[in-house]
Amino acid sequence: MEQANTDMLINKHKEFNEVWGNPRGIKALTIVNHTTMGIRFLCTSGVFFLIGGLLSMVMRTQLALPAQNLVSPDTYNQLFTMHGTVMMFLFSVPAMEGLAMYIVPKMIGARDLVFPRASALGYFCYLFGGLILLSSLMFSMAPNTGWFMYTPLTSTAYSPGRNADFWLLGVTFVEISAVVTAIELVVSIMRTRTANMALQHMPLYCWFVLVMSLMIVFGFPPLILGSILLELERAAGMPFFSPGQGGDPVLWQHLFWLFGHPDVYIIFLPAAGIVSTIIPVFAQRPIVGYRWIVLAVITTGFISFGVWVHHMFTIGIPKLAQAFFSVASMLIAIPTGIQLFAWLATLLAGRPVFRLPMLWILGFLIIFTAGGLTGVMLALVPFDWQVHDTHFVVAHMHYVMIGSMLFPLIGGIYYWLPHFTGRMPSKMLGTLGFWLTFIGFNVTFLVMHWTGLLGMPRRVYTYAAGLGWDWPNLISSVGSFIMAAGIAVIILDFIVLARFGRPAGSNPWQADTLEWATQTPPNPYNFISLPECPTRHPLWEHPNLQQTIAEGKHALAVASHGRRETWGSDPISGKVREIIHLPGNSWLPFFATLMLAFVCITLLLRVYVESLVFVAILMLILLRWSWENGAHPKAAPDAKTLPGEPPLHSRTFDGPGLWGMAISLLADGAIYMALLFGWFYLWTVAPNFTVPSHPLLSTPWLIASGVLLLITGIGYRHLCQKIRKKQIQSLQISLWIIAIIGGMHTILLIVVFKTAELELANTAHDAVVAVLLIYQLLHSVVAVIMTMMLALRVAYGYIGQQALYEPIVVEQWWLYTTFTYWITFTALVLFPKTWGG
Amino acid sequence: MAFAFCYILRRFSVADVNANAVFIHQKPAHEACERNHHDGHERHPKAKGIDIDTHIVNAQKPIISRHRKHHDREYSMTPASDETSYTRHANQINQANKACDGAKSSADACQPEPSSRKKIFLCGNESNVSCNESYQGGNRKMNHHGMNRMAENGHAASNGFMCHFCKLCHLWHFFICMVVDKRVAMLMMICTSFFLAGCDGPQSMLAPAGPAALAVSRLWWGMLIFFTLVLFGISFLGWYAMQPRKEPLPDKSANRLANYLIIGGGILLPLVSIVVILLFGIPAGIKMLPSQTKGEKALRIDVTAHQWYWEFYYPEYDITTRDQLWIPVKRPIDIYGTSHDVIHSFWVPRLNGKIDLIPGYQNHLRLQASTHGTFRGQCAEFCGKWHARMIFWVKAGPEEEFERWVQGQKNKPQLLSAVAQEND
Repeated sequence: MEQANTDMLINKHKEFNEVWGNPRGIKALTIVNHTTMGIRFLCTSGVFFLIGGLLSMVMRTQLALPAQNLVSPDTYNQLFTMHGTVMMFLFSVPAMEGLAMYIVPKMIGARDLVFPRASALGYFCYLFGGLILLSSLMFSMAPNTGWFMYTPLTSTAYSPGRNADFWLLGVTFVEISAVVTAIELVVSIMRTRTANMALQHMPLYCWFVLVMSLMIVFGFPPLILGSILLELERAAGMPFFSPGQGGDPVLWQHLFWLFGHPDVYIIFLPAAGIVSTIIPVFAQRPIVGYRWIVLAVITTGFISFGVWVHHMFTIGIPKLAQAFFSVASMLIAIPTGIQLFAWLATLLAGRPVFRLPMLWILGFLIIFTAGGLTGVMLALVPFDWQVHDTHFVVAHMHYVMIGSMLFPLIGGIYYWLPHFTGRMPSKMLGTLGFWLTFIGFNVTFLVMHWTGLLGMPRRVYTYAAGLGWDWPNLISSVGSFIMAAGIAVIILDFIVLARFGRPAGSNPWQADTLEWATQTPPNPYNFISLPECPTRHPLWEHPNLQQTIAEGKHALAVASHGRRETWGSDPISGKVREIIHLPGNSWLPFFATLMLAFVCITLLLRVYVESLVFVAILMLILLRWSWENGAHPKAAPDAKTLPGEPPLHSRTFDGPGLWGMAISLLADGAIYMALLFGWFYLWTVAPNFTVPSHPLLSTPWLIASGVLLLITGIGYRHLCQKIRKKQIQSLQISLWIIAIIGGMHTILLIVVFKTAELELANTAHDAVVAVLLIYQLLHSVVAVIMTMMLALRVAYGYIGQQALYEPIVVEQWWLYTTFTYWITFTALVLFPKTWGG
Repeated sequence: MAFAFCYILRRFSVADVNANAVFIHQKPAHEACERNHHDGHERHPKAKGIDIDTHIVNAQKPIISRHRKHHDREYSMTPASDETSYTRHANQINQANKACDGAKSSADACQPEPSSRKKIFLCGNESNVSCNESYQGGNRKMNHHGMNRMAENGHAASNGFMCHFCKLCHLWHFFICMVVDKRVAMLMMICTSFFLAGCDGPQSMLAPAGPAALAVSRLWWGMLIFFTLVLFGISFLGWYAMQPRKEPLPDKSANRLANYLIIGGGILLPLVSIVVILLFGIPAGIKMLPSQTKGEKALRIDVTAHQWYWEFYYPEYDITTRDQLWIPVKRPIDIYGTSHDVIHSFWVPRLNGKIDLIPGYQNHLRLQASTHGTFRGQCAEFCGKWHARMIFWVKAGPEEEFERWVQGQKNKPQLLSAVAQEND
């Protein structure tokens, strides 16, 4: 009997591995599986962390004694710029996203993330972007203007080299990765939870990741836009940030901190999610105040977008605005306090056991509280006027970042190490590593508060003796080396673990969440069968869940049809709605990213013809990518499901693609909002903004073009209504007609653009007008291409009576394009008329 | 600990050597360490130079009990050049004696040297080294009369500014003396002295020399004490929560506990803290704003920051200086700043907070020095390769001295403005 059982399990595993298995060798580049991608993200970010750490070691050595000349000022500037950039863009956010990619699908009982190829694209973008950024160090051309890249220091006049371009292009590349991954995480959490896992049953970690991802979707686009504008200024001389020609350097600061401050919470929230996962497990009771915490997380997300100006209290903004942003910044202490005290209450109410991950969590509690308290101090405007841009802020920021991100992350890695590797960490080395890191950290940064109060500014490559800064700096430097030793011990621990760790067995910490119901280390498909989960603590309530899952006693336990399947469920209640079939391994993400990297490199070299060639190849690859979808032979040619099972998502009107498009448009909308903000900001605030005496754009042609767009928009919507009723007699013709009218609209828009004779390099006004028009043009072109592709797919039979899902996805794009067109029209034509341009 | 101890001792020995050549000035130990050291090394040789008429020496000497007694007895009756200021010192020494049991107090006693040369000593917080020389050249004709007044003002002002923290410090020493065993007390005192010694410095915002910086430093000390308590409270709660327990709380009381903690600690505590901070912070902030001019007309100075130097223009007098800012004590100064190239930030920590200087914009900041002295200022916004070297000095002296300097500048304006134009 037992033998038969084991055989059955092995056969099941083989059957699933046929479909889900990861290839080896060069083909490993085609893997799209979230477990592999998560591990890759984590390992890569670990390497970048070490590089960033080494840079800081050089800086601390240089600052250990006054008037040292270990590195030149220019090298030092590269060091601190790269340290900040690497830690923020190449370590913190990707590490958090990587962990989320690994954990989230397992926690919500799914087999993979919902857009697996996008996972791979995200990873390669991250890797290539990071390599491009770091390669600048090899060429001694690393960015040297601070990770905040304030203009006009970064404009060509003051930074003629390629240093700033490396930053702008490399970071934008990495940000594409962050945004793509975030979109994917949002849709996965909302749409692929296992049966009956309603929102209120979702593990807290997923709530944190959900809010973090939405924050990335809204928070990163302003910086992407800012980087594009600055690169345009540097490469094409469009003066967005040059005060002489009507630009404004402060606009860059707004765009940067619109991203920069939410970024702090983007990093903190998933870490707090780790804490909220670990604490109940080791307190051996459910977390108290689940609703409080969820509410606090959402509030944090909202407030964090209203506090960016606290990085700019010294630029001379109006006092009322300072007061508003000061109070808003302080208020964030409330949701954070709620989380903190909910964790403490959970520990107080439970029976805590002291294991290695808890050590890191306690370290987090102390350091993060201290960092939060200095944060409240900094939010107080008069105090900020003094300590802004001093080492006090450096100390505060490291307390917040290392305390709230690194400590929980290492705690989390220790917690999930048995899951990653199937082996238990060593207690002795782990404890030693913790204490060295903890003590070293506090020695370094506690003293650094004092250094700042004694008046030492940030970003100085050296200082004179006799200002009272000598000893505190030496102490900080010694502390930083202790901390580095701690990190070394932790790495040693990981190596030892991989070699000699004792096997972990299943669920070694007696955790409650679903990820521990997989094998350790997990198989690519996570679960043979997908269980129902109408509870927050599935493993505490059903201790034998792991076994019943492995025996295939739950849903979707068949893979002989060759499809990768997971549940598509209702976003609120978690009721099963359809089967989502996921694409398999593919070369497309790798080559798409490779082309993107070539585009990036050619832009760096300023050989624009070559860039255009690579953009064209990239477009072809992306078109191929979207071609292999739905009813395509490589996706799901036949839609047969087992009796009683819901239909495949591509055979319904509601699939993850719809959500993916919606969330992408949110990110796109955030770019657009930031662009509009820039337009109105320059108009109202910039000191030398000049408006041409006569309107540049031909209003009648603009209206004509807009009316054509309106017709396509309404027409497309009408078409989709018919599709929903399955009336598709003239689908292909209608799509072609819409594409043609859309094309006419696009051509008219190009004519308007051409005839306007904008002086791009002379006035910021014309430069912004051009960017708004180009934005609109790109959207129109993409809409037309997508519509033409849909028409072709109808011709090929991939869209037909049974599979009518795809045109509906594009509907949102058309509506969005129409909507932004008329807003742009209002902003460019009507606004100047009413405001007396 | 031993490390700290050696450090302190080293400082004391330097101060001892130097003590014979200096003016009486009294400050608690924590104020002094940092400065003495440098004064000892760098000021002393200069004091002997005949060509420097105006020379500023500031020597305070922290003294451990026995040294202190010695100094008190030996020097405290020495006639000082300025009677009023001396009386004040004597009083303070007595107070310190009363407060601290006479044995473990720390105070400074320094003595004016009956100088045979034309040397003038000022009290101020000064450890400026090289950049001053050009100044002093331009300030030769300062007379004794003015300088004496300066000394007087300097005393009053610096005492006023330090006392808010001195009191705390004395209280702490008193507490140590009363409560703890002598050896422990010694050790603790050395620790605190070491910790507090750091407050001082030519660019330290914790050594305020103007009303705005004073307001901020008060805010800081208040917040430090309050938040340290909060931090210890939360850390203790965390430690207590981790203690092993046999039984978990039943669900009902767990929920009640959670609600108490979340509402009390998570909502009320931050809310009350924020209100309290704002209650103190808003008035402090308003005090720092330029709107308040108490009758006296503010002196306008236009600052233009360049990569990497400062240009100061006095529109009233049509004087331009570079990297050196002369201001009259007590008079409000309106700084109007902009930048010639990239963004810089104008910052004199001992006088006020910073203001960014942004090309295309003109920003405004109010400075006011309550005490004489030379204060170090530095660019606080990263501005490129030599950001670290973008330093300037603010020289605050009495009105007459300032007027004299203005006259001196007008007589030879071509030099400095030529330099400024050259760099434009």
